[in-house]
Amino acid sequence: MPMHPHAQPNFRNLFWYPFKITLITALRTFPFIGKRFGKRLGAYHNTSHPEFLDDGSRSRAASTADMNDISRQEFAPDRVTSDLKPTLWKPQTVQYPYERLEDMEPWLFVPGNYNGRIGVIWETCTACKMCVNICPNDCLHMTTELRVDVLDGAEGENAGMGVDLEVGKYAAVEKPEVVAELDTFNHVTAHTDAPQEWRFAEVLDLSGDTATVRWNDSGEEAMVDRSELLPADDQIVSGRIDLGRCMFCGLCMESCGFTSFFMTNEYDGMSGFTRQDLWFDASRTRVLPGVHQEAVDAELAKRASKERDKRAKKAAKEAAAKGDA
Amino acid sequence: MAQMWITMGPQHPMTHGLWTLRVKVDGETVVDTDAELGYIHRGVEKIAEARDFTQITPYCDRLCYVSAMTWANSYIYAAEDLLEVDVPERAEYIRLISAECQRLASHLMWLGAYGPDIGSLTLMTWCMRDREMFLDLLQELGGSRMHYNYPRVGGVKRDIPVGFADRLIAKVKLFEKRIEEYEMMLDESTIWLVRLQGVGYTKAEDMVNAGVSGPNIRAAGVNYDVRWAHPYSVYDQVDWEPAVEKPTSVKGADCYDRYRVRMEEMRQSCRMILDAIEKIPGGKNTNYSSGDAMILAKAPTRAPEGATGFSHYECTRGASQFYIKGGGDGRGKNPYRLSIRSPMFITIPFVAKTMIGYKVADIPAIMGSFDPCIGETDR
Amino acid sequence: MRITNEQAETAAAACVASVMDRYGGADVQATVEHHSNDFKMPFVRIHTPPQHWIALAKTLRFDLGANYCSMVTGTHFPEGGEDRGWDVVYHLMRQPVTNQKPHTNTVHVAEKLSGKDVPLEFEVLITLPQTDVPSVPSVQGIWVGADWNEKETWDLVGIKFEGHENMHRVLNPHDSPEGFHPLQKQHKIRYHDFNEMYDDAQGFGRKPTDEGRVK
Repeated sequence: MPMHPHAQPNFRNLFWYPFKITLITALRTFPFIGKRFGKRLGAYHNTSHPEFLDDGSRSRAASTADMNDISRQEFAPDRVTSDLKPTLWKPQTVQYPYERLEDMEPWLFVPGNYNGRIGVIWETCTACKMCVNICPNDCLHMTTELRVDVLDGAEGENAGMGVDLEVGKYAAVEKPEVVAELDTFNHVTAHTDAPQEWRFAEVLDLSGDTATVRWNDSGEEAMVDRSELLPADDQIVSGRIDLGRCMFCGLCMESCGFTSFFMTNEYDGMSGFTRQDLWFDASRTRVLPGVHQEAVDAELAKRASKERDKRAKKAAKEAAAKGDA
Repeated sequence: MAQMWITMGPQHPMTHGLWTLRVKVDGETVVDTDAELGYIHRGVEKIAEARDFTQITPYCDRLCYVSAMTWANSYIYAAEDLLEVDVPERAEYIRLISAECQRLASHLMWLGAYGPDIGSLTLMTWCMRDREMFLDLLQELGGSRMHYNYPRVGGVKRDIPVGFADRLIAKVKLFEKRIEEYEMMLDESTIWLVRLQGVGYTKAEDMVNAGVSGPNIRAAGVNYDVRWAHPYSVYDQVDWEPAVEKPTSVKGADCYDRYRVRMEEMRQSCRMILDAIEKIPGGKNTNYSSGDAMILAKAPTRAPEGATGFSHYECTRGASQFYIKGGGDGRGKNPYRLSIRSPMFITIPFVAKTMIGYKVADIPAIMGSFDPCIGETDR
Repeated sequence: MRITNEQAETAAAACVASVMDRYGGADVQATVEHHSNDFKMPFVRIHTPPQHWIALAKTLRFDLGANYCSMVTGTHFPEGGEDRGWDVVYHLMRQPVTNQKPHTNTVHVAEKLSGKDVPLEFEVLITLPQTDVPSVPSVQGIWVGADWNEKETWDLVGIKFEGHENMHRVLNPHDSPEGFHPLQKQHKIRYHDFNEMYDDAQGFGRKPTDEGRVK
């Protein structure tokens, strides 16, 4: 605190007053001393300090002493009490965070559609970037990467459940030299990422057994055997939402078509000491486990039923074509 | 004694917002005033040129934060004029109910700030307690107590929840009795009457010429209200009357009239809400899912160049106007120009002029009686 | 209770006829337009060149009764072509408001209003050619409400109002540089990109150590 330019350090201000005040405050916390000697001990207030008062101030203070003079507050140093027994009158304050208002008074509820903390189900996120585009404040940052989906490369009972190659989308070819290297690559001791085993390309044309692709790395076009290609797509690597910028408008939640982005009805858990603390990534945007599971199940069911409808329509079209032919 | 300029603000507990009022006093009498605004100019009009029409709605909530729903509605009507959208009737009823709830909450905030200005600290706690009722209702609708982002171009974001109608009716009926409590406390209080009557006379024609509108002008005995003069929404199907006060002097309306007109407006809002919730098409206990045609019409997202839309809306503090020119970035997805007319921007210099001739102690009385909100003033 | 479309149409048509009568030959066009939503209420739109604006304003105020200046605003069209560099728009209203005797009030029954009492909206558009110094005569003396609206338009858009006394910055800081009018199109908004989310808006000098690859 800045000092007065003419202040002279002296024993009274720097030691004696602080010592006396601390001692008296500490003593007042003991119920026996506080109740019996509280008024006499007091603490230095403007209303009673001898050096600061003249007759006028003293009389003015005396007239409102009943409510304003905290030297009359006898027992608790951190609560204002009245002359009635403090034990009968407890403070009405809801002791957040130990108590919550909606628990004490359940008719005041936080509705389910409250725009609270953001919650993201990362499993069902398809990195479509609708949320990033619709945010008015540019709070969302997403890093995505071309990847081969695990489902596409699966064998055995899960084979064939992934997506097909499509013109305009991406595909990937194994790099045989990298695959050989991967056998000896030790994820634990190597301090780098595993080498990229796929070479990505954009599919330009699909016809029969071969596909025309344009390689991402060189830009050249080539014809590749379809059996060597696996479909690849942009998938989310990491996402971050800056809650310092967020205005909790809920547009991101509305724009997510994949039941992945929620605003929970929680209003706490969003604090930090630096602005970087407010950049929430996957670990801080979790939703309750029940909600998480429900949302994942709902989304997978939705996608599975869409896929089934698509295949049924395709089968019907083929049957109709065969019927015509 | 010499005259001197005293600066009230920009941080001042009584100015109801962040603005500077410099008063030139001669003893206790105010001789001249000068208002300075712009402390919370956030550039909403410029920001809007880079946002979609849906993305602008949350910014409009934050224009007048005390009365957010009315400002979001005001913008949405202009966007619908621009994009030529017809809104389903249930959505219009919901907008009316939400706007009138917001009007009640805003007037309670006004009274809760005005009472302590005059000296009645009890009024602040009473008004905040009652305002909590309406904030909870708006929270159920919009998801947040103050900035809801609730109306959409073509309707509203989600339907009224199940059970909302019962809570709404119960709270509004309780509040109608509470208005009587307020009047009992204030109209019989000598301090209130002496400080408000005879202070801050304003004539109707002066106000119209200066661009003042809303309850401030209805206090001067003229029942001009945008809701019937330039009709919008379903106000013509709902049972209500504009709240008008007879001026007490040939000099016009004083602060007491402006206070009375807002109390009467609160009553009329209650009446409107109770009527609208009964008349709402589709029933008050049904809940349609978001995006249903009953509450949201499909709206185009682009406005061609050369299209304009403007809306004239009765916000809590006066008549607000949004003017949007289409043809902005993104082939018309953003507005080319969004222009916002705030009633308070015009009223504040008028208020500053009204104070001349009265005493320093009348400054908070006059200032508060016009219900300033600087968020909408500075945009 | 509301002003019906018929009342407003009649009133609007009367105003348009009156304006075209007087100024029709002088490049002034007045038409009755309609809002495209809600009740599709009519309003009067007038296009005028700047030189006739004062005379037109006086006609609107004193003869047609437009006693309320609602909004004055301007738009910058750097790519509007030679003829259309700036648009100045005035929104005026006609409101049936008169001083009341003490202890009386006027209860308007909306459907019974007629003639000059019918509330009406006017939109006046003044188009200025491409120029670096757009200017329009000021109507500060005609409507008191135009005063601060013109200050704001000059402050934000840069349109000079000739004859306006005591023009000063009202929303921007008082010491904004000469010629800084933010709503002109050459001024771009900062911090409109997620890249600037990682930037240090207040210069505390902290940058994140990881910047992921961006698509």
